[in-house]
Amino acid sequence: MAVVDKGMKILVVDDFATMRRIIRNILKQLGFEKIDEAEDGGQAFQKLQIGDYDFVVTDWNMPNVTGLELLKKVRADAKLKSLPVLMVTAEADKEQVIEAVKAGVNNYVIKPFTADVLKEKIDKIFEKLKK
Amino acid sequence: MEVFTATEGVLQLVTFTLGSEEYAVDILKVQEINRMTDITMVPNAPSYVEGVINLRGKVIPVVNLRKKFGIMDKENDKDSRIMIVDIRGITMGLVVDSVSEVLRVPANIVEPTPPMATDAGTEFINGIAKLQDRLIILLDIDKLIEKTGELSMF
Amino acid sequence: MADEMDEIISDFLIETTELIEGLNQKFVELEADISNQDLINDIFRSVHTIKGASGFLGFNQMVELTHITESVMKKIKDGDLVLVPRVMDVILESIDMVKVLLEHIKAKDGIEEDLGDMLGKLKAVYDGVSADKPKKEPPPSSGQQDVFVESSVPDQADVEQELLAEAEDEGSADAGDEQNAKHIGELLVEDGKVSENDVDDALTIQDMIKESVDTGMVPKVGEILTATAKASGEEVKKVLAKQAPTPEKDKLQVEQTIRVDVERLDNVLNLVGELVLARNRLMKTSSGLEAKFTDSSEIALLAELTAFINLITTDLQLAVMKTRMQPVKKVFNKFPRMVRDLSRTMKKEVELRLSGEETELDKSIIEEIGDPLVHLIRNSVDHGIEMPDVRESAGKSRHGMIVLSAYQEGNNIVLAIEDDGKGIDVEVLREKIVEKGFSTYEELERMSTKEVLEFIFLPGFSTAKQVSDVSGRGVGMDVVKTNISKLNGNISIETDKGKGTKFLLRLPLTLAIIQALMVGVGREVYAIPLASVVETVKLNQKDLKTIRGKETVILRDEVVPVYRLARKFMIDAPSSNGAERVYLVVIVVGEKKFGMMVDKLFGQEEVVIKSIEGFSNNADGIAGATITGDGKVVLILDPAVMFSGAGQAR
Repeated sequence: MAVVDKGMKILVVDDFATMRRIIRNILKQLGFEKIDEAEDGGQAFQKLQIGDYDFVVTDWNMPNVTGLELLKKVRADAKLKSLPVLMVTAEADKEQVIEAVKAGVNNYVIKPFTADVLKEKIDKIFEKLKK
Repeated sequence: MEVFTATEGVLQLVTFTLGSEEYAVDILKVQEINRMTDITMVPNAPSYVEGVINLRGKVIPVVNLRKKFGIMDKENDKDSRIMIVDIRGITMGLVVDSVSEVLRVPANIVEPTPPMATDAGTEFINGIAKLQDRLIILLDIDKLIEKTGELSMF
Repeated sequence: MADEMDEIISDFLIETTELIEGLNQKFVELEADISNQDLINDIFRSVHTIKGASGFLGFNQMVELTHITESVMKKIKDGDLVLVPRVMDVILESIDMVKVLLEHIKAKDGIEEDLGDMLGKLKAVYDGVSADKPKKEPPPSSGQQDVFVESSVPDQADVEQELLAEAEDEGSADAGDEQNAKHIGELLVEDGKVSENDVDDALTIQDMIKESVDTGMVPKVGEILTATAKASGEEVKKVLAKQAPTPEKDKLQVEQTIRVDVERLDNVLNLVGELVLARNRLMKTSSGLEAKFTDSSEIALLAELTAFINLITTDLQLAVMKTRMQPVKKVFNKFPRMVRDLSRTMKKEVELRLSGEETELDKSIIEEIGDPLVHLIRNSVDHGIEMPDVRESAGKSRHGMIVLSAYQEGNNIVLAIEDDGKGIDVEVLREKIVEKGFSTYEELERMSTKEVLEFIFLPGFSTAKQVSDVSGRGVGMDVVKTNISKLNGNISIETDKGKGTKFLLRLPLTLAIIQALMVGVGREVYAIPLASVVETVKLNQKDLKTIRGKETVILRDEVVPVYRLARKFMIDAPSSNGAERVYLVVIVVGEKKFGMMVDKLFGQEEVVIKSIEGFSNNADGIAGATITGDGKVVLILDPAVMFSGAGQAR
């Protein structure tokens, strides 16, 4: 399995504070320490431009700027375009997944998920990136 | 619900006097005991509500137990104390003639209240502890505001 | 770990409760404007969010309930279900059930509600419409096998998809699927139909879906490819167009705003309150020392420092208060739409004009003021403004006008809702009062119009007859009044038959600190909120006149009734024992003036309102207490209560 750098800086994006906390908590369980949060895609994008994040975990359905819009902005940004993004959503809606992949998502996880599932997804993303 | 906290059959009580009788409440109900201080009268409150005082920035009501129990009124003096208690989450002061001591008594010496035995209405009384030469009336202070929710209307 | 979990759950409870509260408001708006896509989206998202978090926290009943509610909302969102009142009722009921479930979570009682009935109703709503509208989604269930939406591919693509599906079927099932797919992919690439990247993507997607969903419904690569090709069209362009770079300004905002728990702000506010009290005491002590030791340089320095601290404290207090201030715009903004839609449903022509939206109020007041305003504005549209024809024949313009304004008046903020409608017919109102048994004609005869109007605010008065479609799920005027009183505010009505009605809400700027006039009666000191004080007058008791058994005084040709505070509070005081020189504090309640007789005036002071333990608010004109510079408790009077109908009767 790929060794993922536990020191990487992760941005968790969700409009619901409780969800951010839950995801942060799971990430902590997996040994990640540098975790920052943003309330929606807009705020996340601002943060991404300023701070050097290594990984983004974003919710899909958010007010203002959605997760998908954020993803597209990231991919369209010269500096951020290769930033790995994991999308979180409550539904495994086929069309949604397709849209996300078209937009360049690295992987996709469905709520609720366990720490193991999240670990697997993260491992997969970084394994693939190494190739 | 246990009104008095008995640890291994021993009750810990704070005793005080009202007129000629000696009363006690569970020590856990008592937050502190203060000397008399300026009491601000509250207009149109029930007569036994002496008023309100400043307890370190908190404004709390003070009840005169003599008046509440219908014992003849007397001027407050140097022995008078305001006993700060917590009744159902409400912090309030009780004016008493004097506070005697903290007492530990075995739970088994407490007897049920004989009717008409004391000045205080029997509804507030939980029992009577008989010591060698003393009779101590155990008060159930929760009942002070339980009956009609009186304090909330004063 | 357990603590962390507890904290998360308590966060969840707070946040979800907030969401639900927001939802209720949104539903009210949505009810008036059932096609408001923004609102529907908001509501959908809220339910979706609650479901998502509940899943993590293992609140299975919540997941079950919100899942199906969400499905119903999705159908509404997609335009497959019309939000008729019956559907709204069921959705609202399910939101109420969410609240019930939240209570169980809060109480940790482990009680499971019987959701069967509720789920059945939701499902019926969901199914009911899909029966007459043959549409996409299969009926939902809490399981995930149903979440796939069958893609409705355009005709041309349909053929293509079928071909692909056939080709795959030949190659057969799951195990060989990937390889098989590669074949098709390769073919397609050769044909120039798709790029290699597309095939890669399709495989990734299939992978992800397989991982995420443990059902047999993993779509075939071919399907994904066609669907993907379809998705790449206009939609992407649309989203890309939206992506214009965010202006620099936003960036600053993001960086400079932080979210603070209101509890923390409250705590700071309380501490500042304590500081204000300590400052007051310090100033008193300092000026006492100054008077005593006139030529001590140390004392002079102390006085200087005290003055400095005084200034800082005042500024700090203001600054802290400001952190909690929000413009009323936040509440006002939703009304134009509401009025427009309301008037449309009622076939009236109504324009809402806003003024003073920048006026700021304490956050907690802003939060509480929305519902009462909704009610009052609905009331104005519903009962105030007449039908266009009626207006015309009364010589008015067909167009009714409602003006919602906010302005500061001393230490108060006034919110006014004024309409140019038919006004309240006080005679009819009198009849109604008697008919409902609230009073008798004799009693009403002795009352002023203003007092008669007050009956509108009595519990059970306004609710019964006023239930129309619009005011429907509404509350009575009594609830409006109660809510305003809770905020230390008051409400009054002015009406002119045929010309219109005006509701005035007077609210304190902040709930914590007020300017007060300190007065003395006998040995007692009381604080009167300065906001309600018009003037103070030095008075000789000989100047009092008795009119119909009531003591009055004439101030600049105005007859002002006099109330002796000493008598009212049964205090032994010079003013009630015939002292000649007394003071009169002239107070205005609503639009009416009263004179309150006191012995002494001590001047103006800033006081921190404190509640009294175990003291309920409906007491005899006591708004709370404060602690003065010397540590004593002083009661704060509530003139609004003292001089309202009940108070006067004593």
